[in-house]
Amino acid sequence: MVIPLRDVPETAELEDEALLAAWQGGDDAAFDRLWQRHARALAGYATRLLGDHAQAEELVGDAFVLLAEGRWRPRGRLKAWLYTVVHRSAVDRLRRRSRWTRLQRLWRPPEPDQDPESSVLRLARHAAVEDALQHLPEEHRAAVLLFYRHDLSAAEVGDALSLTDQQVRSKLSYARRQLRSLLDAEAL
Amino acid sequence: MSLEDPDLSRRLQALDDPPLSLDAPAVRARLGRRRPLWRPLLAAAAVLLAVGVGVGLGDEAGLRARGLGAEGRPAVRLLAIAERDGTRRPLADGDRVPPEAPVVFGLVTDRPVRWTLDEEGPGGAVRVWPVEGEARADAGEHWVGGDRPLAWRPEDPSAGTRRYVIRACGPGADDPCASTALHLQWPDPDAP
Repeated sequence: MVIPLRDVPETAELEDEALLAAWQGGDDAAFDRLWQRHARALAGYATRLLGDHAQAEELVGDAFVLLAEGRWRPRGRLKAWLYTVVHRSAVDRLRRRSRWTRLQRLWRPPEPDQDPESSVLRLARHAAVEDALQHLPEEHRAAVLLFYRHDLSAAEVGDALSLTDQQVRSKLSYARRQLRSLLDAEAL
Repeated sequence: MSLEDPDLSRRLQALDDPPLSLDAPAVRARLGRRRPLWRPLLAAAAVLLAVGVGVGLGDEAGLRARGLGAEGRPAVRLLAIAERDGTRRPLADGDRVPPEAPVVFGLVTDRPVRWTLDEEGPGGAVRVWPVEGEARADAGEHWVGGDRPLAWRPEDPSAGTRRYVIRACGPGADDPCASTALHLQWPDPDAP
């Protein structure tokens, strides 16, 4: 007996690929759950590359449209494919808007904590990390975010960024050193 | 060489992602909204008509605005500011851009619109914003780049006047469009 996804508890951990199959079988709730699972993090990733959240959202919407159109092929993890699509679209946009320069660096602050003191400290820590990330060259920033924040494997990072395994390792190593140095300087 | 770095992972994973304004039903709706070919063609014809007919004389701010808000068209204004030494100066039609001053573009609209901004100069026309497709804006004032404004420099660095044209249409494929333009004089980048 097939159980419609809407009857499966939210807490049930279905694989992404199973959710996609359920959606392709006509269950819209499966698509929505895939979106809820990945869209915000994907948009956060694209925002850190592009510096523009509205554009990042557009890219994520486009990636999910491609997914729904059946562009994903089961040669790897669906999640890694989503990051690859979003990354390549973001890089494409970055190249074409090279005539633009940022006036300032701002980041929409997260929702405040209940405890104001810890909220301030957390914001300061996060701001330092965000700032340090923005000091990295684009490809190093992408590699470090995909590997350390979004849990892609080194091989998946290589696929997304069109780099060899050795190049991925080299960029991660450099980025770690740079981040460590920048964050240590902030003493946070 | 191990790539593991639990401390860095923890720090990066603790970062917040901004909330999304887009939701899954909206994306699903895009899938069910495959338009027949003639609708984009009609929309393109409407834009061309608006450009040919709608662009006219400047208003008090020096912005071309004839026909805006009429016949169901959105009322839009193109905004430009030059930022220098921490101060922002609005630029009007025909103004000179101060040397080295970043120029930020924006628009004011009385309703939700799809919009594009193009630069027309000696070398032809180039898309200024968005990088591809159309930008979308709700009623109100918007600046390119949002909270982190983007400053524009012409690709061709030579001095001279360039025309900036904003085209804005209602959100629907067949909605009316309006257009406004602004001329800016760019300085010689090599001038002392």
